[in-house]
Amino acid sequence: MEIKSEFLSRSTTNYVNLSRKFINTSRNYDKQYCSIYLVRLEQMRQILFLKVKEKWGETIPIVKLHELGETDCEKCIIIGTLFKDQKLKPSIVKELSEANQLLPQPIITNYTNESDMLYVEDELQRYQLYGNLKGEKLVTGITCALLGQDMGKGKFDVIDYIFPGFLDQIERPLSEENIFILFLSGLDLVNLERTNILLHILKYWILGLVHLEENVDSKSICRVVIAGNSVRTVPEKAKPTISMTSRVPESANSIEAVKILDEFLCDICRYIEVDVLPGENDPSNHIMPQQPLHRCMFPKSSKYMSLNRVSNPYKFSLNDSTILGTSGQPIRDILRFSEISCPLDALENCVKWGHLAPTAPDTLGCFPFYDNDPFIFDDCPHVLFAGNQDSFGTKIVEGPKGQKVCLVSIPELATTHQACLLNLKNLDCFPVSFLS
Amino acid sequence: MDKRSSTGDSPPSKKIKHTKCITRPPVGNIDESKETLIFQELELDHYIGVPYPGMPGAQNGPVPVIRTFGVTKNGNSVCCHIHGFCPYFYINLPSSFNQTDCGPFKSKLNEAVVADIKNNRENITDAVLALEIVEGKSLVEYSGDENDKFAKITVSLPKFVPAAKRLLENQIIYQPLAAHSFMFFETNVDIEMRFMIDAKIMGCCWLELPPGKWFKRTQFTTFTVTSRCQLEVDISWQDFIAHSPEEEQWSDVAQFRIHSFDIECAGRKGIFPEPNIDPIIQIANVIKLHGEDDVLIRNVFTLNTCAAIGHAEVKCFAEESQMLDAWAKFVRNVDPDIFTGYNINNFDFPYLLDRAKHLKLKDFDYLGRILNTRSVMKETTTQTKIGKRTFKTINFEGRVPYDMLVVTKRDFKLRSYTLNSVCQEILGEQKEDVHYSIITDLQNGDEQTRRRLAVYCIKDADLPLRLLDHVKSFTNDVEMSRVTGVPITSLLTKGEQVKVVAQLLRHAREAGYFMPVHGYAPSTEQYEGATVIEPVRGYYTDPIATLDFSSLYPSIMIAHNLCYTTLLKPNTIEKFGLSEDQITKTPANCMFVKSSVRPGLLPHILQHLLSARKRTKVLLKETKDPVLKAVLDGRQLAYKISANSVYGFTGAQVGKLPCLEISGSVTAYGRTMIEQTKQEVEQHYCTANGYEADAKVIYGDTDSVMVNFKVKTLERSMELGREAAELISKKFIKPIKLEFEKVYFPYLLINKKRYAGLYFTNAEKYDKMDCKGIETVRRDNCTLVVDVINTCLQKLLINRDPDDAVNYAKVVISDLLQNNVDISKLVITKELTKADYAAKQAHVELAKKMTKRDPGNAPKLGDRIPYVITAATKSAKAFEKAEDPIYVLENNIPIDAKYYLENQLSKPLVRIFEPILGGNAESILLRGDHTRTKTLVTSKIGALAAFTKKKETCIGCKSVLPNGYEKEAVCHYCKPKESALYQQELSHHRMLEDRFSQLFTECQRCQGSLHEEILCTSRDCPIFYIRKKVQMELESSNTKICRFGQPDLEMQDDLF
Repeated sequence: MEIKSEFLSRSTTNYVNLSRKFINTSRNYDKQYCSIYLVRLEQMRQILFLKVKEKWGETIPIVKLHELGETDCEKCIIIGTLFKDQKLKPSIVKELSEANQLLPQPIITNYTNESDMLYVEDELQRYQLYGNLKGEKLVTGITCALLGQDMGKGKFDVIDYIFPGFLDQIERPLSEENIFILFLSGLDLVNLERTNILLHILKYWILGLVHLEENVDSKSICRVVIAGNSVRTVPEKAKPTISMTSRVPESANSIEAVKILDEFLCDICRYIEVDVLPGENDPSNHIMPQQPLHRCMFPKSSKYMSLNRVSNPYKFSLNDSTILGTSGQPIRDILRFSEISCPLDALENCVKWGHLAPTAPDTLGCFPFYDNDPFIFDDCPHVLFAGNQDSFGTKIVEGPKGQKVCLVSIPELATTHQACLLNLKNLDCFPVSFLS
Repeated sequence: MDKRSSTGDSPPSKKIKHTKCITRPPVGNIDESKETLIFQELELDHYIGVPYPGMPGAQNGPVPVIRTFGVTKNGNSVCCHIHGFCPYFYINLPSSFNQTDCGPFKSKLNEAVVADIKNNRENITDAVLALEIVEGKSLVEYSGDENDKFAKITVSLPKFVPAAKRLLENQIIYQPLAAHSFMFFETNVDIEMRFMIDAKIMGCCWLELPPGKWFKRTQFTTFTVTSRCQLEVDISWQDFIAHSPEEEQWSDVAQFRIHSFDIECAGRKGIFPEPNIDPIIQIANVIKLHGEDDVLIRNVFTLNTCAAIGHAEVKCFAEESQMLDAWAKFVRNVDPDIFTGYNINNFDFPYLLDRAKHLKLKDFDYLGRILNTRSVMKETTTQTKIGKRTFKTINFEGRVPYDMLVVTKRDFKLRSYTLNSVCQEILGEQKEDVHYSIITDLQNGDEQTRRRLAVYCIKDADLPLRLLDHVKSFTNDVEMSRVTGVPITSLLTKGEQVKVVAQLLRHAREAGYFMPVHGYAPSTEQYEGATVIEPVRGYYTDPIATLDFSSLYPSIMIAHNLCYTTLLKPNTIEKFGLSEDQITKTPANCMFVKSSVRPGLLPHILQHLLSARKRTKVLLKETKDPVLKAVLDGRQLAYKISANSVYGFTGAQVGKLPCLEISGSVTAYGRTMIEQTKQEVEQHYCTANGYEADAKVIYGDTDSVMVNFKVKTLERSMELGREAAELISKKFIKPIKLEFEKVYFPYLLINKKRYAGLYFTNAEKYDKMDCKGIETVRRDNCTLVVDVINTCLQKLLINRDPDDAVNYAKVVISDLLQNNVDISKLVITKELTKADYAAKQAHVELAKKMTKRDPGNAPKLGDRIPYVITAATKSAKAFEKAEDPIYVLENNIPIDAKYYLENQLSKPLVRIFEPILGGNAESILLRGDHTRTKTLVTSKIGALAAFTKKKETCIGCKSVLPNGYEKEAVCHYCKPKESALYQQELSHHRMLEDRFSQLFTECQRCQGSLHEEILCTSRDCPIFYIRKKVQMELESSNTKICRFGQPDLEMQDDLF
């Protein structure tokens, strides 16, 4: 393909990968999950102390749950992790006993039920929550401060509540230039016939050979972020096995799809910087955080410096704008276990809760961290994205101190035939259709 | 507040914000002369006391007093002394005996009985109170229409009944009767049952004491307070009204106080806690009112400090003796009607009592309701439905010990009865299990670790209550007690027979019969059992209609008037001048008179039960209230069980009144009816009569007949089934009725009493998969067998795919041989009991081995030992091959697949596949190609392990990596395939990671805390071993993955 050199000159940007905390070098599976909850609670407690002071003043005592029964105060403040007891929550023990039962189990996509109960828990105690904090739009793993009173028998009446919420945000530099980031997800290369044509159009567009968007000069696209599920969007149907740990060979078409991905990346990396996140069904480890896809699978494309195999979650800064996101697992998990139905609402809540993946480890697999919880926000990002969503969506939410976060729900390419562009100048985000 | 509740002071404890009212509501002032006292009776016993002035019965000397305990509608506890009831029995008399003989006979008998009393301290002079002539009949054998003469002999104390009987048997008491051979009636009826029958009290019924007839006791009355009940009263046995629970307004159940508790002991490592050494460290209590959803009180008594718990009150004590005393006071304060817990009869209560004795606590053991009676432990052996067992029984006058372990064993057939397994099976949830060796560590930690233990202890007190509610056992037992008229305690401690005896006596009394005492002459006579039409084995893909005789045995007894009272001995026909058509000759060659001559008593009882059941079912349908629904459902079930147990009673050879003529005739009738049904069906449903095919009865059993109408659709089979049931019912005497109930489609008939089928009651959807007699609950099987059989049956019956079922079985066998089965599915569990310690048994040998390895964690008597069979040298005996599953996992010891295949899997598998594969089943399943590949596992221990030095090999081709390349993942040759090899390893790793997170979050949820470490070591839990295995596999899989290098070198360089 003959490419004029002018197409290759793109806006130069200042890129920094900030994902160090998601890279997991020593993998120790001896630990249990209580540690990550303990660390999360401890870290969040510091943030919440400040917020509590701001909102409720210093007169109401903050007590540990086990001290509730002994305080004389009518009202008090407690800080803890939420736990939502859901009878539909998948359970491996139930599955095992159901394996012996014979009625076919209905396939559930949302695990909420009217019998769900909300609890708050600290290091030692668990209390059932009543009153003004409703569990429908909440999930397990959120840390919060609660104002209310002990009702006795392990019940607590909530009057008001505080989540760790928006953290401080660094100011975004002003820019006159249109600089675009292209977000893609769900290439589903095992079903190449679905996306082959799209990928070709995409490639030509990046090269400036076709025009898709009137107002976007493809030269001003400076970076492509592929947010997961490049190999497949739907997990392979597992064959039932006798043993819970028996080996299931990886299918040949997955391996083939990885080769195709290598070639596709090779094609575009010649012209543009590409960040590839592993997704739920990509060949990386399965539990969060997912490690970068291994270089041995990309013998061709990994020769290019412009190929950035990154972790999921992924955090980076581009011209001093902080961008954070995942391939979508945490968001999908929140949608499953709460009555939140829109990915943007889930993203917004993550910002409010101060946590990228609250349901990990409860219903979202996660590594048993013991000295830190990498999913806690350490500042307020400018952009928060989630890949592999049913449809495109964007929204700017504002925090109490004027923090502005642009939320992006990246559509799954294979089903929507869409990607999306984000303009770093004004955080304008819009979809791009490859088939119209 | 009631004065008695102050007998126990609130023990010193941490400041509690919510002071809960633990005592019963106050009684208030009741005027005995104006007000009616109504309460529901729960417990009933008797004691020997002094006569209460103004009451009937003996007026001097010691007299028996009936004492009953109960609860009023307001929840007040009542102790009621019922006076004037005297025990009595009957003897037969010659016709020559007349009224003038009564006086002399009575005084002679009285003299003899009084003389018989050993050192008559109380100076009793009137032992025999009355002797009167009564007319009636013996219950056993038809004796014509004429009544016979009997003497009713009333004595002053229960112990004089057997004494009088013995004296009459062995001595000549009254000369005119010297030649008379005495027969005794109802001498074996104890005074409580006698009283309940005469006073028409059913179990758990409401008693009404009319105003002016009852007398309240206070500290100032002549008869002072003797109990801890709020109300203690006296009444004559003739003055109260017992309301039948069948009346609608008397069918409810009072709010009984149920007290569930659990104790924890600090044992020493490897030794079962001994009450004279190991202290009790915690006692958790949960108290609930029967029928309420919410718990009334939840608390825990702890030795040493304990941090507060949200949902329970914590009471801490520095000394164990203080704690035990405070607990006993707490019990007396709460005044429970029912004690429950798990294994409280055999562990918690005996331990508490022994420990209190050891600590020399004077007042601890006053746990019952009688002020000066201590609770003591007795060992008794009883015969119940679950077999002969030795029980520890403890008296708690007025309180019912209702141990959920006993209830579960009685009502459910399970693989294991640990609280864990029972919760899994019945409540569908796992329970955290803290190993007893950890318990002591937790106790010796700080107030937080003790809190952890307390939370665990509370859960163990909570669960029995939840079980009790869930299986409705108490509700059902209350109804059973009401239907059969025996006190609720007897349902747990006595066998089945007492229920039938009680009913028999009640009805006999009304009809003028006396029940003879059965001499225990062990009979060798055998009667033929039930069954059967020889099964035509096979896998039927046609619908198989099932015709059932509803309540077969009861209806046979009714239809043919089979009873003790109608039994005719061969030589007596002429004596009574009976004609042929007045006699029924049963297929067992016994004779009974027809109901036109004399309606039998058993048929009468059965009719009563069956019609009462019908009425209850109608009510049940109309009822909306869930509580009442549960009550009525329990009642209809009680009627059904009672009706069916009558037959068993007549056949119980060591029973109170066996009558093999009846039981033998019943089964004989059953057999001929099944046979007749078969003939009728096959005769009628044939092509000759215009039906589509010749129907064939493929199997018949006890009360059902399986018919293959050889039609293809469910609808048609149901239609024919219904029609046949109606048609054939007409051929039998009422109330015998053949009913069409269900169609099996498909149906796997393995053998007599062994079959499985998909159960349809409507043509749209199956109700369930029904399996009879197929290994699913045998305790000595590993769960692999259960799982495989279930899955195969599912494939056969639901998926209708026999080929797939066979293939599945083969895959399992092949997986087993390749060491690919989760160890938890191979675990076999046996209890270590004293009796088998000497024998060379697998689990016993293993226990010895484990003791050697780690004396601290050695299994102790009473522990259940889980083990797997490992491969060992050929000469090894089976019992030497047992090994601890954890040890096997940790050391990668190979499993003896051959053992599992031959001793566990093969028989049940061959059995279910024989109807499909025929005689080849065994060779197809056990010797096919799929059995060729075997995986050899190299153990980390053993002779060779020490000498082998592991060299790094290529992950692809397993060739040894050359020097200098040991760090690489693959060899030079495999390098091009590196990506694919990496993905293969990764795919396994991903799956393991997934398991890891599913398993550990599950345990986190199960223990009810996110922030605390999982300590559970429940070996009954299906995921316990897998948890360990996944961790180990992840570690090795991670090592392998790491050999490919970090995913992103550049990134790493950048970072470090």
